[in-house]
Amino acid sequence: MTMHLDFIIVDNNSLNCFIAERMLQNIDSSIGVHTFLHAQEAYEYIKKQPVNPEGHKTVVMLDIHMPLMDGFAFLQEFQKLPEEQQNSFAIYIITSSTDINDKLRSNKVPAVKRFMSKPITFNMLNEIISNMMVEA
Amino acid sequence: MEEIKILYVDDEINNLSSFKSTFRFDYKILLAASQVEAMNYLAQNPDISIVMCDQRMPGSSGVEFLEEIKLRFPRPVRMLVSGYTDMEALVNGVNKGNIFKYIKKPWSAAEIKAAISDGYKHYLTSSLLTQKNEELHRAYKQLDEFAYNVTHGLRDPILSVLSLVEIAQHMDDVPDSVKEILQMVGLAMVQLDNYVENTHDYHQLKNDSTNISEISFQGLADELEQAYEPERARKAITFTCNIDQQETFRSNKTLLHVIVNNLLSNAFKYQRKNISDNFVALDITVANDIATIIVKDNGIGIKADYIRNIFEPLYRATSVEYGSGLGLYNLKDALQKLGGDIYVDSKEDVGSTFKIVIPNKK
Repeated sequence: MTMHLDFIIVDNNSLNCFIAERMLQNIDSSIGVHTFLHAQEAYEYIKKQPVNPEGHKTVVMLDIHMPLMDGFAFLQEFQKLPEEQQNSFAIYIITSSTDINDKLRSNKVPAVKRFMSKPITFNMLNEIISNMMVEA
Repeated sequence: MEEIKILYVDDEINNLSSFKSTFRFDYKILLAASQVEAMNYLAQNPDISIVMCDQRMPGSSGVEFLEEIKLRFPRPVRMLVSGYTDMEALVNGVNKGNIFKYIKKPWSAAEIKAAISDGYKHYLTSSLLTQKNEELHRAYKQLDEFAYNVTHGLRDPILSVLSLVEIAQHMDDVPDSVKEILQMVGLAMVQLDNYVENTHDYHQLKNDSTNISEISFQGLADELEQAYEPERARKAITFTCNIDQQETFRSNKTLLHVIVNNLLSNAFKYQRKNISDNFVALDITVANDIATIIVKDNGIGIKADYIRNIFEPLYRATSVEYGSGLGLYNLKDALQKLGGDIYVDSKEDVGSTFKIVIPNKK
């Protein structure tokens, strides 16, 4: 069975959204990409998604430092969702923060798979994709 | 001059009224015949600067009452008024810092005035100090937030440029000559990014060093190994990492990170270009409450004349690579805070070994 991957990019910098989308398309054009400049909108979108069918995974690439709802506030809301809905998503923190406290704080959230430091690279995205394949 | 607000507490109504009639033109006076009443006044009048209380009261004594309000309302200056020489209670009260002045009954107006004048001066200086302290605390917090925001604001676009350069490198319709130029743009961005990071470390070191927790050196090494993987791969460096930690070790995570990160950063940065067996080795051993960290490379090394200067702020022993001149200075600063030591063994065109020992903070 082939595995279908979707990506949700949450970053208030549209340049970063463009970068991630462009790189993902380059790696595999069958990957679905949704980008959000506001974490609140991403959350509303995620909330409305049906639970993923088997063989379908959605990766959320989440920035931490954002105005209004930041990455931590997003995680807090996300954790209130029903468990099976949460399980449809794999969250990767992608941030320019090297602050060790940010890292410790986000690693406490079970839905967070990894904390990765920017820049976004092909290697980074390939790593996320192969991680998801292994888990499936 | 500002009006001085005084709370006078005594269960004898006569004492209260005689106090008020004597000083009603000098001060703003609140009278309380019980301690409950006095507490209410204190809660409602945060501008009371002096509390005077009689020692003999029903319920708890004056000394006990003053001790209690010291916790709940620390700002007013406390004075005890007593006709009885209850020495033990008095000495106790003074020694615990609960009583600023003791006024013996019967008092004279001049005595009271002198006491209030002293007390009010004390009140002004200590509340000014408290206020300044709070302001300072707020200022530090704002500075922290500022540094965090500026760091992020600077780094995010730098890192975007790095990603864009990488996208262009993968595009078939971009000529090699342009790719070469873009490669240089990328390198300049890496340099700028290092500079921003070092500056942020420098700020953080000035503030955060009291937070002590259990350290997993394996965790620290894994994290750094991941961070240096792109540079390691690009420069074809062999990286080996040996961690031997059999006992718990407590220290400050941020400071340790700055220390090991700076050593690795230099080791990866100052590589020789004319050899092919480039390596960086990280060895950490924790034994007998001492962590020994060794970072070894076969890079460009440091000229003997320069070694003694490398920990000076902004000093640079080479122009081969770009640097902020803050890296080793930050490292030394962090090391000092942890009570550690550093030993350098370096030879030009052979390589460098930095050895660091840090005691466990139990």
